[in-house]
Amino acid sequence: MFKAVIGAEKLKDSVESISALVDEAKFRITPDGISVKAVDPANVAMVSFELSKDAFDSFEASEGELGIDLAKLSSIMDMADKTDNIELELDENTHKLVIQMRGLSYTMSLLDPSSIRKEPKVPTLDLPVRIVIRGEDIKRAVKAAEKVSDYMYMGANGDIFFMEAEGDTDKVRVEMAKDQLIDMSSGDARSLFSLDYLTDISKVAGKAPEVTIDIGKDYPLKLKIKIADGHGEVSYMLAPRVETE
Amino acid sequence: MGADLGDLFERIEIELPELNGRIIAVDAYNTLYQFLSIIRQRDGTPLKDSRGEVTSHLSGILYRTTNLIETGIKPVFVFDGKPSVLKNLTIEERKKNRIDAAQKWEMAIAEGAEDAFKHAQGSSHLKGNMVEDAMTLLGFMGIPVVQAPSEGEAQATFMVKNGDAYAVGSQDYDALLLGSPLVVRNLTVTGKRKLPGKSIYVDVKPEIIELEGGLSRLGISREQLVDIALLVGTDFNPGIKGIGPKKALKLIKKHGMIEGVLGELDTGIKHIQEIRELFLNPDVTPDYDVKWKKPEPDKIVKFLCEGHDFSEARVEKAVARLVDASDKGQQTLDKWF
Repeated sequence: MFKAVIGAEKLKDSVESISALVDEAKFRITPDGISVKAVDPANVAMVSFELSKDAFDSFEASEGELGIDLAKLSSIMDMADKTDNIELELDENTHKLVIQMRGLSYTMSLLDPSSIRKEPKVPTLDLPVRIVIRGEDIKRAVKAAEKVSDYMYMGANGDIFFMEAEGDTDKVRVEMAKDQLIDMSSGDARSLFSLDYLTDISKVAGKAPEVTIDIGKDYPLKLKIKIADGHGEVSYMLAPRVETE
Repeated sequence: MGADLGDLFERIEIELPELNGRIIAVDAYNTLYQFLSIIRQRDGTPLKDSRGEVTSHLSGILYRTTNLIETGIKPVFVFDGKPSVLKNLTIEERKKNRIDAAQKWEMAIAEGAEDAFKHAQGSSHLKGNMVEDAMTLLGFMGIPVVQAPSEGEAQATFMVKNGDAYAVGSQDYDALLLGSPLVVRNLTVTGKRKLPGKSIYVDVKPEIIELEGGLSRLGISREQLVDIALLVGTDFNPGIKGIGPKKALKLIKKHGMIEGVLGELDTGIKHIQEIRELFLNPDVTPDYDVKWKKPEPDKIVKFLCEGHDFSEARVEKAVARLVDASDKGQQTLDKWF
């Protein structure tokens, strides 16, 4: 069984954080909360999402899986005001999710979880540099990089964190010293990432007051944010590009 | 299809990898017809799904376009819009030829004749959802699609002139008449190919034709080239009986323009000015977007395998090649598992 009530904004942010990478996902339900692990179709980026039952106004659930069409759920959420409370309930007989908001009831059919791509294993990576940065600073750097290239470097020289993009004619570089960041464990790192992915991820990360990023030399990056007032966490892993152009 | 001017121009054989990194504006209709014509079973029956719908064109788009992308070529498919009213006659005639060919094919199969394949090819026709399906598949593959206001080749030529593509990819020569500096032939039919009506196989290589060099070798202007095409016959007029490209070249060089030639031959061509305009000032649009996207493997597989009964194993293999080729520098997470 699954029955829960949650604030519209929290649910909306949650859906967006997953739909940044995939169109459909398997939501794993336990008595303690909801989690999702998904990898994008090209196997370049993955998201792990956890939302504790404490993020909900009420939450009752037994173990289960829901196959969710994220684009559909997101468009249903467009009908809710930020301050609305959303009631979610699984109809066990029809296996449909009933979504209620201020008198509106939407019965959403679920996807067969076995038709959704298998959940990825999350690799353990030992990355030398960790920075903690304001979300808006990441978003701004990505936005600037998009103006000149399709790719962006992220790296560190000792106590300096940098993001850099170079196009045919123009160049963008953002440099932040340790004291301009929220936190940093210094080191040397430099990896190239596709803005196709970073743009979508930075839209989600941009809203977060604190973003934790782990980087290495030609290694995937890990990016982690808290959601739902600290009752949930989203982390992304993004594979780098190799520098042969 | 198109004016037959192949003998006038030097066709330089190249290898596909020489086009690495080049954007080619592909005449989509021309290419789809190529696929329909050659991707067939031995008796000439096109590939079909369980509902009997032809899928040769989809097979061509997936496998052959993936081959191109793997060699580093960046194709953009340019689709025809509304044909010029002047083309109606040609369209009618083609329809008649197709029906004839289809009848001959049936007879040839009934008689077990060897030329069944040839007649089958002649019956190729783009109909129903075929164009729409092709666009859908290209979209899932992340390949840009451009809708021309009228002739696809004219739009493709415009894109080359604008510097948004390197060459027009087409089997016919109309892009030269339209002023494309470079035309690439045989892009999607490269490889071993059976000669029509014979059991001989030839190795087909891409060819590149250069307009300016060709014109200066012939000692004519593009306007004169259009006049030559008008004499020989285009998609918009049948041409003058008994006049081939070489004779037409001689006559145009002698008289300068088609009017003089027609005077000497004491004959006429309907709508000369309008047809000239179609080649010299065709209807094109600056409103197009050439942007490659990431292929969507799940959607390609679903569309082809569930929608059109393609073999999942084969499609997935092609899709993996496509994903790999589409973004060579991008690593996948597999490496760190």
